[in-house]
Amino acid sequence: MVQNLFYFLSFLAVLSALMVILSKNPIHSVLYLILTFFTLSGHYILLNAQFLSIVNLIVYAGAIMVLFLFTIMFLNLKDDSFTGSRLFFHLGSGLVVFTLAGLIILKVATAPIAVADDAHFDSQIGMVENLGKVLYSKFLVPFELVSVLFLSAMVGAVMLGRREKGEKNF
Amino acid sequence: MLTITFLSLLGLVLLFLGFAGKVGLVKNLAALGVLASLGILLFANQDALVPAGMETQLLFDANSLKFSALILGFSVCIVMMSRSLVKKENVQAAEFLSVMIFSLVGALMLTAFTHMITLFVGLEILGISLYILAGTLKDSPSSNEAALKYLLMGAFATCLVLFGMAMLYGATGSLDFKEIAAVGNQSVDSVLFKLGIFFLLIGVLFKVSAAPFHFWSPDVYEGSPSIVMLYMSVVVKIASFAALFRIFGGYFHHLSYFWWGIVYYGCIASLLVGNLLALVQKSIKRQLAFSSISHTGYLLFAILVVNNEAIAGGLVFYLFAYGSALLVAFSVMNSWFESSENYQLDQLKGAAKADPVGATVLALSFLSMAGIPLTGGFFAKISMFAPAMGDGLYHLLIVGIVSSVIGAAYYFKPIMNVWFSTEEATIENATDMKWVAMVGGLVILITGLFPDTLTSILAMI
Repeated sequence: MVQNLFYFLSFLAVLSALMVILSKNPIHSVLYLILTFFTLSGHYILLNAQFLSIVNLIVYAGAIMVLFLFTIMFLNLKDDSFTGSRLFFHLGSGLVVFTLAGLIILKVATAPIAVADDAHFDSQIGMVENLGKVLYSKFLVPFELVSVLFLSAMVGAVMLGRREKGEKNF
Repeated sequence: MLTITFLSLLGLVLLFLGFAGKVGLVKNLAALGVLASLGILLFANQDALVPAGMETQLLFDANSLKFSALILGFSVCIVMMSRSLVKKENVQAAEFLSVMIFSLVGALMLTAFTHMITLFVGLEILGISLYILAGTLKDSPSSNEAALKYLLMGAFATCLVLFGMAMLYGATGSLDFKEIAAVGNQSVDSVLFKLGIFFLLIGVLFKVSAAPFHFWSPDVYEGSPSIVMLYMSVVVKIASFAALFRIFGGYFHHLSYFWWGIVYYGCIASLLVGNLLALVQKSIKRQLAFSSISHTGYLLFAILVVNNEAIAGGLVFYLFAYGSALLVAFSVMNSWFESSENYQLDQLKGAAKADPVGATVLALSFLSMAGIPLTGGFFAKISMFAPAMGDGLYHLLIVGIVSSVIGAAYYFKPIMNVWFSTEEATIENATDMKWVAMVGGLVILITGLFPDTLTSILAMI
């Protein structure tokens, strides 16, 4: 059952990743990328990492991709915006992609397959509960200081984004 | 820890006071608060509030106390000087000052981290606050440009740091610098470990604007408000050098096999690029930005020498001399050109006739930056060159000395314009708060005439 799910998710992930680069319309690309993130989150759940999976959905599929979508819609990209030699572009990018892919495949195919270390294996390590315990004990100070980071980012966003007297907005 | 907590709370209080509309109180409280935090840093036990047995991933040892004291000391002056900026229209005093104080939290973390997580959070707090500060003048396109450029390049550098950290974690299974350094001894051949050190180093060199990773800094420095530029080239430089020194002069010092060559060529490149390009600049801020790159080169000597315990004092001395010279120069120029943010070298012509005191102090500070004897900058350069001489780094020394000579050429340009030009002065008003500039000039002279006093004061911290 889990194995079939894995194959299904992997198939979907590869397919939607391919569609990201094959679709002509940039908005379709973004939508396929969101689908890719969903399938990857599914993989994380299969790997027993629920927290990572949820964060992946919220941050990437939720926040960042919506930002992408907005940017693309605002910029109103056109198909003919690319100027320059098409042949050179295709040859160059093809060369880079195939070299990189070849290297990775070669490396993966020849690498020894890692086996889980049963003695040190802890199935609960990626759970929200354990993560919270570590965050609120060992890493309490950095965790609290991150709030300073977010506060200053928030203050800055309001300060820079606020409309001043006599300022024109679009 | 105590100082960091105090500064975070101070920033919050300032925000609420600004919300209540008490802008005058905010300005005074900001300067007083930073001064108080300096007192807390020097005289209180940093771990007073930390329960026994709790890990904080921060450790205030002797070096970090020195760097933090420098950071807070200069920040008090900069916060006081920022009055001229925050009274401008469309600049929110409370937000500006509290973001600046939040960035100090990051700067102090960079002097005291023991763990990757505190290094990273510190870098980010400092970085994000600076992107905001660079864009403070919302109606000036160059300020907006500086903020955006800094954001993009800073994010890129952060990515490199993070990438390096991930590699190091993969190679050693730990995020604690001590543990990584201990494992590093055995992993001489590990590709992951080498890549990790490489990317971490490149990322941090980006932050200290060492050549060839300096491209962002002239544009960002020129576009930012001059107070923010001063803050970047003094406080931020101290903080990022404290971090660089803590990692590569401390934890990874015995692993110099991995990183020494990169720092060596980065040092030579910074010296040459900074000094040569500063020669042809017309804007003072741009010239000082390139000179800041060259000073990064001199400061990198401290990372390269073998005896890292002894050089720490020299590094602090150099940062103090450079920071005080820059602070004095800006305090004079700020009052000379109150309404403009873009100082040109030509604008300085004949200024000595209108304001001899300010002109003297300005000349003194430029002489100190050039490293002329009788000023603090001379002994600062000696404190970097002498250990390198002991290590036999003669090629580096030759480059350093040649570039100091080139440096003297462009530092004399503003002095010539101020003193030896026959044109009428175009400055707006004479130095206000003359005694502050005079005290600053005196500090430069004292550090130049009696460098031992400063060394012994620093040794007490």
